[in-house]
Amino acid sequence: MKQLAAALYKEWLLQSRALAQLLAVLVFGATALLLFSFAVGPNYELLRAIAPGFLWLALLLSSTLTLAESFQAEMEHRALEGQILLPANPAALYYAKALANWAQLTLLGIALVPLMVALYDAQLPRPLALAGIIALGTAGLSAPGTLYAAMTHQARSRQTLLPLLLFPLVVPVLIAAVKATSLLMLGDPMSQIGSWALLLITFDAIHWSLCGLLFGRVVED
Amino acid sequence: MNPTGVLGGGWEFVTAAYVLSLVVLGSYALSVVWRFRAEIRRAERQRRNPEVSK
Amino acid sequence: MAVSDRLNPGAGYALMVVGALLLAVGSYIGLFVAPSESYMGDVYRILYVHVPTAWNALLAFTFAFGSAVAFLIRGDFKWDARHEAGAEMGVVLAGLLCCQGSIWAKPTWGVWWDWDPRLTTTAVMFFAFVGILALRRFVEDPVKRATWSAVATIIAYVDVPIVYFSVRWWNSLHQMQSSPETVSAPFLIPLRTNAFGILFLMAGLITLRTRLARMRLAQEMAPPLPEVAS
Repeated sequence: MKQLAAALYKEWLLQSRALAQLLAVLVFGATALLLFSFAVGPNYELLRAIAPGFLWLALLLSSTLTLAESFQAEMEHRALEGQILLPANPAALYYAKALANWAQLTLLGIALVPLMVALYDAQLPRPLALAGIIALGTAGLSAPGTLYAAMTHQARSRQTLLPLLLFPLVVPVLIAAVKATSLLMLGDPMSQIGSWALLLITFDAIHWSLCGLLFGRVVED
Repeated sequence: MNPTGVLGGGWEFVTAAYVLSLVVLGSYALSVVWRFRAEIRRAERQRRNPEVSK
Repeated sequence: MAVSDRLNPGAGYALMVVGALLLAVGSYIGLFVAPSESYMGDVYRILYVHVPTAWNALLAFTFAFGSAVAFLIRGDFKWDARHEAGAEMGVVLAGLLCCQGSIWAKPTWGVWWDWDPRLTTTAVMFFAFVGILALRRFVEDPVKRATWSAVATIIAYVDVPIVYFSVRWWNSLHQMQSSPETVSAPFLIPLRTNAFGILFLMAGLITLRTRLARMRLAQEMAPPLPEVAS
């Protein structure tokens, strides 16, 4: 537990120094949302219906930047090997990184909501529930994403490899998050949101435990 | 679709499916066999010339 | 690591030939002997090759998954070779399956793709395992390659039921359709014959492909040869 705290503190330090990077990812997500709207044009009915899908696509694309960046600091200073040489639990390392990525993605998601409301004329009857769904969905992106980022940050063609590995895997997250967001924004007459949230929770539970278990094998020598 | 409810014809789709399956499975089989035999040839060459490292 | 001579390639070739023969017989019966179906007419004959492909695709991926687990537990590289062979075979069958499914969908439902949960899950698996094969190609160290791709396969395979259920719930809100397997084939003989045909063909291909992978691994991990004085 102390190791986790130490690892988290290190992540916090890294994040503070990488505020510029955080802002860059935010701008990327915002640009993506804007560009998506050009695919539809000023058709307000369609934009409102499709806003949840575009929000999550923007988050998905931005996540590749966040995740790839999360191991960049380690790679530049070969610090990852240093941490492995210390008698530190690799799982603590993994969870610290995954939590940091999750925090960044959740903040990004919440930051994109006002832009979505403006561009797509979206309604927000249940903003807190929306924040909750964003948190659940980004957790699903962060867990396997951090694991794959650890694998690919040293490989050739790492920019293509990370999305190639991650995107098929997080299809359930995309489906459930878009569906849940859509129900929150456009109405939920049959109260289905519970089952979609449950799907997200199940996915998160499975992957946060499985990826944590397997991370040790990925970084060992 | 046929108004009586039964699909008529459609043999071009059936043919397409079978031909595609034949082509895909056949090409993959040829690819595996060819690569396998190439690797055997390479291993034979190496066994005969041990001072060459490739 | 000595390449085992017990892995007889002759067995691989024999399996392939038997498989091809069974497929030829099964397809002939399915195309020309079996009667037309009551609602589907003759289009249903696609099932005689589509359903066996589906079973064997899942089998190939399961074999890859089992080999990945075995590798992580045992560390024996023969499991890595089997993992590579199984993944490659699975990708070929899954890709074929999606094309067959599309060819089936057009005359039956009028669209090339209808988001059928089974077919959509297969498409996701196809992309997931293509990614895993790409990962293998881009990692040069054989130990890392074997470990990382094994981890990726385990995660991808565990994800399959989740993908299936999420697509099914998502799709059920839009349409209820008969999936290919609920159409009853008048004859089951061509179905079973073709299923065994592809099974034997697959077993033969995986045997040869595994042998190929093992030879390459032996080459990669062999100690450097001593310099010859010139």
